[in-house]
Amino acid sequence: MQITDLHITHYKNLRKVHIQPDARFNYVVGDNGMGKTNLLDAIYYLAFGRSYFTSSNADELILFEEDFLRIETHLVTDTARMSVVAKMPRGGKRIIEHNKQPVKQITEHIGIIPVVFITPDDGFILLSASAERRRWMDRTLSMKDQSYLRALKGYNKLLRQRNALLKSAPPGQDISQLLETYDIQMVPFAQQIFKIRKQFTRSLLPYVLRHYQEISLGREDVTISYQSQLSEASLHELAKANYQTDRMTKRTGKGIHKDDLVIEINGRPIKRFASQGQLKSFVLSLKMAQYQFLSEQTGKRPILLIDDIFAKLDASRVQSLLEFLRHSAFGQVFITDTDTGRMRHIFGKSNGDGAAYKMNEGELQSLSV
Amino acid sequence: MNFSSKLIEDAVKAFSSLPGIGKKTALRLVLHLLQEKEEVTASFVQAIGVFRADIKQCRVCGNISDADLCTICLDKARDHSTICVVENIRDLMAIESTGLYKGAFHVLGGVISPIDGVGPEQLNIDALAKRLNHGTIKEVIMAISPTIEGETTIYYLSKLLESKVPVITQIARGVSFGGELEYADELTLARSIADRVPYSVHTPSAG
Repeated sequence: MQITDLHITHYKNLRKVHIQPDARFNYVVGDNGMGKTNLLDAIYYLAFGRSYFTSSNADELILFEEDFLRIETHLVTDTARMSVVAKMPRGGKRIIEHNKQPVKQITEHIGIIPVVFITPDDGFILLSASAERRRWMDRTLSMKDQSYLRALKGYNKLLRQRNALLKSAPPGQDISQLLETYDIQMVPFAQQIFKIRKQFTRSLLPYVLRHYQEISLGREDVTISYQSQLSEASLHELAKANYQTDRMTKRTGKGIHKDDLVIEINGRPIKRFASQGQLKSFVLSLKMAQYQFLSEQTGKRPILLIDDIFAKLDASRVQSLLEFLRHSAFGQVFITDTDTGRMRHIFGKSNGDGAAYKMNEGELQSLSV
Repeated sequence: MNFSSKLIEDAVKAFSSLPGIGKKTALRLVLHLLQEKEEVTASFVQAIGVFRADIKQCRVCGNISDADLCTICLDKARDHSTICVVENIRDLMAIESTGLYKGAFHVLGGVISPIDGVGPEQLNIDALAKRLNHGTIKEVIMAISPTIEGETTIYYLSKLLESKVPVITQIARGVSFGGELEYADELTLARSIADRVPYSVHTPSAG
């Protein structure tokens, strides 16, 4: 699967970009702040209908003083070709189109263009609160399985209603009947999500281990474990036992929205004890594992977006990423870098095929290599 | 839009406050009234005024009505041992226009949605429970949209009413009539397969 004929209009600082990406490697060089990351993020936006980088106001994605953004591509697989458009007017709703027909539910779109995004700041996935790790897990699993995303949406909708009920009910009133109504509806969704996340953690681990040991030269032992209240009891029982606490705190304390991935290096939680180097190595292993998980589970090779990683990583980690790129069965790759020389060096080593571009002030030019 | 008359502007504003009517349509309606005789406007205003002042809610089912009881509740020919619970009057009318249902109704006035400030207390639920107290009701049909809020309401009501009525049913959900399978969404299709019904050559389901 590859994207061809990519048009980007008014996405962040990209006024008008039109490229015919290579089926394999695409290198984008340019100084900092020119828009290289925005190019990768535009591809990510096309895949998910949202930016990789959290932004509270979607309008900020639109180029200053413009009224809309639009990203368009032709998606080519072995058997089919389809046009995909993501567009949003300022102050309006984002619309996704397949072959010029608007897609009603985002669940029907996510997974059409699987992507894995590697950035130098990915450490936040490990260091932030559990929500970031759930989000990473959810986005990965949504690309694999539409029913996962549907279950998650169903669960979250019920959770919002349940929380609204807890917030609005007057203290003395007995709302246990209605709380239970929500719990019973949440149970099948929670069960499904729990099962899929558990399975995911299990299948992810060997990949992560292998990559991490390659990078750290086998000196350290890592584990990832899935932590969920649902491993102790069913959601229905958990929720029921927690009614009083829920009423006091005015929010739902039990459920899969409390799940986490616990990562340990040599038996100690990575969040508190890891060095900068360990963090970088681990998050890189995690992303490579994500790539392999998706390609094996979906049979499609995700688009790999690698942003400015070579400047920020030390030589040994760059080397292992390059090894990975060279030996794995790859689909389309987009790589950005500030250093033209390094780009040429890497480029020379990877079979010689590919396209190179230079990004300058939001404008993209082809480079001959 | 610029108006030469403040009076016209006010009238346009009034019309365009109605759902589905924009400024242009509102202006057309206002200009139309202006061309007609004054009596036309007077009787128009009167019809609306009287309707709003005199309309009632049926004491039993919550349907709109001219009297204390609505025509459906008063209709002796209907089966008053079956109650069809609907979200609003529009849904009631939709079911009535099928001409197939001959029982009574109960209008809830919404579905449970705490986010929108609607709890069971805001809905016409107490009256429904009271209707079941006499033990004359044989079946309650839940004809509520299969949204998350709708399902919540159905579940809540069923829990509340299960001891008071022998049978609680809900309307079938599945592939729409005249629809094509390949265009049905997965969830609907999955449910249609799970809830499939026996086919009888003597009573085809087309109704």
